[in-house]
Amino acid sequence: MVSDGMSDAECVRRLQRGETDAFELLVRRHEKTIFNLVYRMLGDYDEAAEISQEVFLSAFRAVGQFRGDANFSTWLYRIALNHASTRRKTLGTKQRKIMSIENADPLSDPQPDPSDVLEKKEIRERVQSALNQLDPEDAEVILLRDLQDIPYDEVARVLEIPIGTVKSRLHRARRALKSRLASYFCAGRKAV
Amino acid sequence: MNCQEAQTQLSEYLESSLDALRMKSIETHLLGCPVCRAEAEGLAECIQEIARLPIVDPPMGFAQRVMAHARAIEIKSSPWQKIFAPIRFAVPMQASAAVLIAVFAVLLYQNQSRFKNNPPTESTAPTLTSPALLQQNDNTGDNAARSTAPSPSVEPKAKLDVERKVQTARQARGKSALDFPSSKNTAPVAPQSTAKTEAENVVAELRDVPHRAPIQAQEVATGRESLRSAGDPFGFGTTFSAPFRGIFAPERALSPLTEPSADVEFVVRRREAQSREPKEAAGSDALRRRAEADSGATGAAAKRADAPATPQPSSMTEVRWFTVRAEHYDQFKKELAAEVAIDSERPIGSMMSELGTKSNRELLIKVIILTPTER
Repeated sequence: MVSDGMSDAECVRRLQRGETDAFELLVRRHEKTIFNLVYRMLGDYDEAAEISQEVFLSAFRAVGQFRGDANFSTWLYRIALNHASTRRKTLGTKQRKIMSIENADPLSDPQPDPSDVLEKKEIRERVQSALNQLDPEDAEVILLRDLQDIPYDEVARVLEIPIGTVKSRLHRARRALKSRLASYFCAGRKAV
Repeated sequence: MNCQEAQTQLSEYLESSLDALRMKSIETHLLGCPVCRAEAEGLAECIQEIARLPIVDPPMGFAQRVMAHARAIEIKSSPWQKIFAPIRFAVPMQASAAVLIAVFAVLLYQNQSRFKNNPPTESTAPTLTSPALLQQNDNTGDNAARSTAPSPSVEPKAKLDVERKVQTARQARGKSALDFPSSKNTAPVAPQSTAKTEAENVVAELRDVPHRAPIQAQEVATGRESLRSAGDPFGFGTTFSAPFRGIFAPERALSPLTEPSADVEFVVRRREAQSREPKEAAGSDALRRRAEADSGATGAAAKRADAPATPQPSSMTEVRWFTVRAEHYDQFKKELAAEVAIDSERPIGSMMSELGTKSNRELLIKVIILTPTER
C-alpha cells in the first residue's frame, strides 16, 4: 500500500518491484519542480508540458537502472535537464513564444495595480528571454541554484561536475545573464 | 585585493558562502571600487530576478496523463521484461544482433557438418517420441492392452499401427528387444517358432499397408547402435568396402517435423551368420570378404560355409533408413544383397525407371529387416 508519507527511496523500491502506484506518488511530489525547471529552460508552456511528461515516462522506463546512490530528485533533475537541453537545441533558431500564463501567479496581489502587473510581466519576459539566450549549460546551473535553490553539492551531483566547477560556471552564467539584462537594468536606474 | 580577484568571488560573496576573512576583504574592496560595486549590484539583481520568477503550475491533469501513459507502457512490456527490468545491460542493439547472428551461424554450421560427416552414433540417433511406444517396448503383456494404450502423440494412426505391430513381433520373442541373439544363447524353441510366425504375419501386413510415414522410433528401439562399427552403415555386422563408404549414408537425422516418405522399400532377411555377436560377425565377414577376394568366385559357397551348423534365428524385425544418390542405387542394392537376403524391393515414392539413373537426386530407402528363416 502506497502512502503519502513514504520516502522517495521507498517509492522507488516499490516501483522497481512492479508497484506502479508508487510512481504516482513520485509524479505528484515532483511534478511542479520538474515542470518549472523545464518551463524555464524552454520558455514555452506547451513544450514544457510535453517534455515534462517525457521526463517522468523516461524515469518510469529506466527506474530499473536507478541504484539509489543519489536522491531520486537528483536523478530526475538530470533526466529533466537532458530532455530540456535536447529540446532546446532542436527548437534552435525557431522563435520561442513566451506564454503569458504567469498572470495567473497565485502569489500575486489579489487586487494588483495594473502598471505593476505590466511591469512585472515585462521583467519576467525579459528575464526569460535572457535565459533563453544563454548557453544551455549556463541556464542549467542558474536555474538549479537560483530558481530551485538547490545546494551546491547537489547541483554538482545533478550536473556531474565538481563543486568548484559549479561555482565558476555559476559565476560565468550570472555575468552572462547580467550582460543580457544590463540595458534593462540601466534603463530602470535612469528612470528611477 | 585587486578587482579581478574580487570579481571572481562576487557570486559567492553575494550568497555569503565565503569565509569571514574573504567576506571582509571583498566588502572593503567594494567600498572603494565603484566598478566592482556596480558589477556586484548587477549580479545581485540577476539573482533576485531569477528567484522572483513565479512558480508555474503544470497543466490540469498532468499527473493523471503521466500515469495513464505509464500504465500503458507497463501493459505493453512483456513478462520477461518485467522480470528482468532491474537487470538492464547497456548493450547496443547492433552488438546484440551481431552476437545472435554469429551464434545462429555457428549452430547451423555444426548441424550441417554433423549431418554430412559424422558416422552413425547413438548421440545422433533419432529419439523415440511416442510414450506409448516406449511403454510397449518395456511391456510384455497382452496385445489387447497395448493396442488400447492411450498415445498423446499426434502421429498418424496408420504409423502407430505399424510401430505397434513391429514391436509386437519383437516382444513375441519373450526377450527384450535390446538383446542381440548370439550363438551361445539357448532360447526356447517354441517361442522362436511362434515369433517367426508372428513376424511373417507382420511382414505380410506391412506389405499390404499403403505407403506410410517412416517409423522413426525403430532405430532407438533396437538399442544396437552402440554395437555397430563406424564402417558399418547398414548395421548388419558387416563392413562395406572402402569405395562405398560415404555413398550410402544411413538416415539418422529424421525428425518428426520433417519425416520424409521413402522412395524405395526393401524387405530383407538377416542370414544366420549375422545373428551372432556383431563383432564376431564382422570379423567373419571380413575374413569371408578377404577369402572372396582371394578365390575370386566362391562368394556364395563361402557364405554358406560360414553359416553355423545350428543356426539361432532371430525374430527381431527392424526398420532402417538410408539415403542414396539415384546413380548409386544399383551399387547400394548389390551391397545390400551381399549382406542380407532381399525378399522384396518396392519403389514407393519413385518410379522404377528413375532408380539407378545418373542423377544427383537422393533416394530415401527404407529397409525392413526380418528375422532369418531356416531354409
